[in-house]
Amino acid sequence: MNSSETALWWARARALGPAQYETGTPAPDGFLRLLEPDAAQVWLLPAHPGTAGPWVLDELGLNGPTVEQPNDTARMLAAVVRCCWADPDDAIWPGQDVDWDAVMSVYRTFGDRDELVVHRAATGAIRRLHSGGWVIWDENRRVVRLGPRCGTWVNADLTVLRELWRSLPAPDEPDDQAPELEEQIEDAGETGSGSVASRPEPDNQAELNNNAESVATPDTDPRTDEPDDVDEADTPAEPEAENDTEPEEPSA
Amino acid sequence: MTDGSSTLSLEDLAPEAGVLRIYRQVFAVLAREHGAMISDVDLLDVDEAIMAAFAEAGTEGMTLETAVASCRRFDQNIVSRRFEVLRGYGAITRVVDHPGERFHRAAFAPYVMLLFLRRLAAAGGQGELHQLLALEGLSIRSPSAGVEDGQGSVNRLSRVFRLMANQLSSLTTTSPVEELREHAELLWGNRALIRQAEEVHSQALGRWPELDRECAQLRTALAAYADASESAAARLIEQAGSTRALGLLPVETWRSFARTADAETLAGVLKGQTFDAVAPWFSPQAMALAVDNAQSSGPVRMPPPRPTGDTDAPTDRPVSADSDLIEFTDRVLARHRRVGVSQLLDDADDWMQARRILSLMVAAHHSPEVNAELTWSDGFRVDPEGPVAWVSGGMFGRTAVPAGRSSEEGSEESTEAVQA
Amino acid sequence: MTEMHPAFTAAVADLSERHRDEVLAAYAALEHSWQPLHESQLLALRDATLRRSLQQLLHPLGRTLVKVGPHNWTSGYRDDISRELSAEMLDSLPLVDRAVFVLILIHSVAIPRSQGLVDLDSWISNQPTTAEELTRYSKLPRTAVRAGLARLRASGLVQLAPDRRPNSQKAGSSSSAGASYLPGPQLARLTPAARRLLQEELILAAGADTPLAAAIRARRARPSEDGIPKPAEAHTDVPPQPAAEPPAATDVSSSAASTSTGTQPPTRADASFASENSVPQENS
Repeated sequence: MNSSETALWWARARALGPAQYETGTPAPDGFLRLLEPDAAQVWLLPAHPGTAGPWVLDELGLNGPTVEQPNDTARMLAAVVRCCWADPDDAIWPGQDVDWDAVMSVYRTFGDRDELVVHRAATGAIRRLHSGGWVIWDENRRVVRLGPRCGTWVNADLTVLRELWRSLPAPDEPDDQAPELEEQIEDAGETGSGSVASRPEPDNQAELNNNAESVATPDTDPRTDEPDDVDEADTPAEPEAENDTEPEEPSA
Repeated sequence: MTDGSSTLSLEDLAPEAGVLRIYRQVFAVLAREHGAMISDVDLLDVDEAIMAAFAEAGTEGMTLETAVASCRRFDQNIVSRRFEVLRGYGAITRVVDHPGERFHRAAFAPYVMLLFLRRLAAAGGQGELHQLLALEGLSIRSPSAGVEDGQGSVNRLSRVFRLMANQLSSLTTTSPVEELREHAELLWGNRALIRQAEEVHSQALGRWPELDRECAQLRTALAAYADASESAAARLIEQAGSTRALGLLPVETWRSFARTADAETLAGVLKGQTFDAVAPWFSPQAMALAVDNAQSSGPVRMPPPRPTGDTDAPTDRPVSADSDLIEFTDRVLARHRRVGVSQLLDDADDWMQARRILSLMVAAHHSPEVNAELTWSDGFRVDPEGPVAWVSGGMFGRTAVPAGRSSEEGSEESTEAVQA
Repeated sequence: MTEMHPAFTAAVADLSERHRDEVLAAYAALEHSWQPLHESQLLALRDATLRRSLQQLLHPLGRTLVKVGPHNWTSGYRDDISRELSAEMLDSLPLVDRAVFVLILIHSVAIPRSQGLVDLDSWISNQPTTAEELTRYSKLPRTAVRAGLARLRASGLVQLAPDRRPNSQKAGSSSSAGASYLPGPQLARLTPAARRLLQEELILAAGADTPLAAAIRARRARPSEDGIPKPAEAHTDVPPQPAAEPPAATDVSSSAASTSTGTQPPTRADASFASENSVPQENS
């Protein structure tokens, strides 16, 4: 790979965020290759040297990107890590797909708040994490998994995370729902190809938000003059999709 | 009551008394005293108010006292003085030409002049020029127009465009770019002006082929204006920096573009740009801290969500960057409005901590939420023994205009008072 | 991933360990910080030699130093890279987001400039754009604008203007009845050429029939003489395999020349590292 291609790859990763490519796509040195569970696609994103990553900002007392509701968002990520990282002694990537309700069962333990408030905070947080590439949130199937940015945590980070993992309660086991196997398999096939090579993540996010928009405003909209970020933390989604999904074991 | 000395020469020049009378009437609104030009725009307001009062007064006219009374938002003496000036120039005349007559009536021409002045002042004369062009076009098309009328029109237009071209060229070649920028209105709508003038030109030439010499002059004048505006625009663009050229378009152009352009057109402006994707960083430490905070805070009952739709979960005290900065700023500036940078850094134990303080100050300076600014001076202090060997001179302090922050500062003071 | 990419090692190979740490820290700070950094914060920004190493580190990663005002620095896309990536990148940003962003630039930068309200030559502005201008008076669909604003804020293209109403300062977000917006911190990352391009595209779009637009078109039609590339060809004439990049000196020198006043000449240090900076190109 020549120098201008390398430069283009680094810049592209910054401009588009983590993106999926076909396995075997060459990437410059210094890039992480995070293989999808089906091994057909790979996430390519830059790995910064230990002394030059975003974590250095903390050391220098500088601020990174502003995150809305940073605490809720960080807690949601903790809940997702607790659920999707099946075995903390194992590698964190790719982790497993987990039902939204399982994530919520962990998230709910972070303080005793009104269900409506919790739900809004959680929905806003999971969408922010999705758009930043920290989780992959399939809103239709109500399934969550770890996002490619989790692959950029270094070993020291993972040590802290393991400790955090152990300090958190296990998610509620989904019990009384009969798994519908066929559908489950089909769905799983679709998730893998949710974003194809060179198709950037923000596209999906756009669709996702647009869907949310059309679902959220069918009737008289009393929130017309509300903050724009209302759209991020919507009213609770209808809980009917629950029957369709089950936490999946990783295929490998 | 006329001022003979200043108008006599005009009288000599003017072949007809009627022309002179109108001339003097319209000149009245420009006269401060007899013979002196107006230099204070406020006087135009007074004149306008007097003319408006006459319009209201109807056919009987009115007295000086009535005029003063209806213009009472202005100083009585000024109104009286303006009344006299207008009368001196014949813009206002006695109903009966007798020194004892108290009722006056007004001519309309001064008011028309006033309107023109105002419009010229507001828009730089472009609109009036368009109207002039339209009028010249009309007069050339008029069936009764003769070759002299055509010649007059064409010559007038030549002069207007030559004057504009001269002004622009000299601004472009000899003036600082700032001055050129201030006269950017000379450029506005130049294509439409030229188009209109060309129409007049071709009509005149078609109707009176003998005017080919005058028409050639008009063509030259138009070309000179086009060239002048092109090189003026080029100079402005060369010197435009990264946003200065934006100020060369009239506000209305921007506003109407913003309000009428569709999404594709607006989005097209970003052609060639590249921006960063959303890329927040979550350190496991911060995640663990957020979890700890939530778990240690214990059960909190939420009030029902407010109808305003504030999405914030109220227990989730935003520890966003800016609240840190507000805290920092409030702490550092608790006693003084301004502190020296070196003074603050002296408190630091080591370079790392000093660096952190510095970055907090810079971030506070940049944050729109924080009422603080960091100003650097040229000098710097060197102290090889101190935690920070090298410190620029500078001050950290409250911004001069505490926009919108005063209420909050007030509330913080009150909570402190309660605690104390 | 703890292994260093050659791009990182090559640029800092000749430095002492301490200076290497300084350069890498400055790299991380510039690339990830939300705001530009004052040169007093980082040795690698105020020391011209280290700053050159920093630029050599940024260059092979498609990035370049950008000077913001007399003493502040950030990083941005190299102009040649930006030209190549732009179409790809903009496709990934929803249309309405781009439109809303441009509207905010018009209301917060262009209009105040025409009104003579701003002095600094910068895309950073403190003149707020009201939510009303975006929703009521534009032709964009209201709900889409709201969703777009949330995304634009997350990416730093747009930020909330300080709230002037009492009691809402610390609420984080606020109800948008009085909410207004400003161009976000990402604008500081534009190189001088990118800033200029943005200005020109805005004039071409809003005032296509003005002599200014004609002057811009004429300027672009001329062969580039000042090193600023012709943006009209942004993504049509670029060959798929970008073999010929303009020398690195282009974007460095132009970034060094940028100041918010626009009148300050580049300092000697800036000018010297501009000329030396075509080096990293040949390393790899």
